[in-house]
Amino acid sequence: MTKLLEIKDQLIRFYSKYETYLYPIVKFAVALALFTVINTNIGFMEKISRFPVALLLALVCAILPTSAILWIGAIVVLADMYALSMEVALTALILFAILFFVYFRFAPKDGLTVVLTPLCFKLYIPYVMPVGSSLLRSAYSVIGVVCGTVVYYFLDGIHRNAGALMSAANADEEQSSSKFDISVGQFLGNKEMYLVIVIFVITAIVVYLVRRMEVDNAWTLAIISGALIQVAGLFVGYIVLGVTGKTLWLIVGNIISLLIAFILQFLFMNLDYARTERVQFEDDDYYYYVKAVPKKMVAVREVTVKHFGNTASMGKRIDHSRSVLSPEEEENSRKVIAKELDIDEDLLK
Amino acid sequence: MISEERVKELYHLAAFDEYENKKYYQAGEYTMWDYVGKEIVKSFFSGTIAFILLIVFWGLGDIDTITKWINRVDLTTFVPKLIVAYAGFMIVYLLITARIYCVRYAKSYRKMKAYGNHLKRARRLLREEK
Repeated sequence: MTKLLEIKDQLIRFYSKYETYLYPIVKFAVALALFTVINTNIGFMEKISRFPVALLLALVCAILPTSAILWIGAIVVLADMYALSMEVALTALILFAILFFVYFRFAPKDGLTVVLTPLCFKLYIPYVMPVGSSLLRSAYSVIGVVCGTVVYYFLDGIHRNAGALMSAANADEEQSSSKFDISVGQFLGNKEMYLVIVIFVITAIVVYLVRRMEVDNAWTLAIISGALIQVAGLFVGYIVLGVTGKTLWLIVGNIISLLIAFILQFLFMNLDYARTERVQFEDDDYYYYVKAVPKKMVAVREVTVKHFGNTASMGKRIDHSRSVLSPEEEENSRKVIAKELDIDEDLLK
Repeated sequence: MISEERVKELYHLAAFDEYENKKYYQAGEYTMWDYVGKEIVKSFFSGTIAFILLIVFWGLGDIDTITKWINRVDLTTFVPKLIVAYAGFMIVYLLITARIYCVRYAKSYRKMKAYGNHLKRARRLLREEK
């Protein structure tokens, strides 16, 4: 445990020292992952669905504010949808506009949650998002997770129905209504999406309430209760809806999410409940019952620098051109070294 | 001689000006209800657009049925229903707006008050030094 705490301490110091460089690198990595996922799943426009373009866009995102990842990602998605069909692009544009007016009107800087949620879905660990957002932020940040979930299921539906949409696009112009039907209908009729959203919202609220409870190990309880709600809720929901083939990834994804949540806990709220202190005091208006739980920390290792030789010369410029000391200097050095080493001065002659 | 206390106060002021002023300055410029009212007016427009887009999006899902339905719709019963739906949506949307911006104003006000206290202390220290 001490070793882990030392590593955490080193990580924090490393991050504070190189924050200026690390933050753009993190943004670059997230943006590159996003553009790669977009290209591999819905990269219908060949011109922009190449790795060099993704790399270039990720580099641009690294120097722009975090919300730029969301905006540039939305533009890339719209371009891909346009390559597939004009009607699908229009549908995507309306959906993004609804999300903008309903949610980003209030939380313009919450774009990273919306970007990370579809990415986590592709990595089979979306369960970490409601738990993580409620641990690190307030309960309403789950709305960002819900927006990300909506975007994921919309794009996943387009990916699954790409064949039907392409054949409709190649057919008669009269088919435009069927393209709307496919793109919007698959999305609005997706009961699995509604189930996931409901379970995510319940999870986020429960995790937020439990982690704020005045009990020991509140974060651990919150993480475990969040994972249990998701496993139980989604398992039952999948049975009711008749969705098959999801149970394995539901369990594996939740185990991985649980581990990530515990890492978050270790990094952000690692408390030593054994040393809890309870104090009471009062002022003119209130009586205070305070419970103080110390954070687990490692003591900073004290480094003692021992100087040998003539310390009077410390900080002074050393004249390396002189190779021979004067007899007086030699005598002084010998005295100091003998004193430091606690030996007879004659031994150094 | 440099006054350590004054440097601390000036640091707080400079840090606020550099990083937080843009975020919280509105609490110093508006009263609470002016600020919230301004955001409610903005939300009225954005909420109306969002409602229209929601209706359009829902309609696109089953465009053939909607087309057939439009031909035989009774506007005297449909329009009141639409108005009720719009009013319900807007009430919820505007209440959320009011709540969010009340909380934000209270936070900004606290920050601005703390900034004002640092400013007063810095001014007092400067006067004492002179």
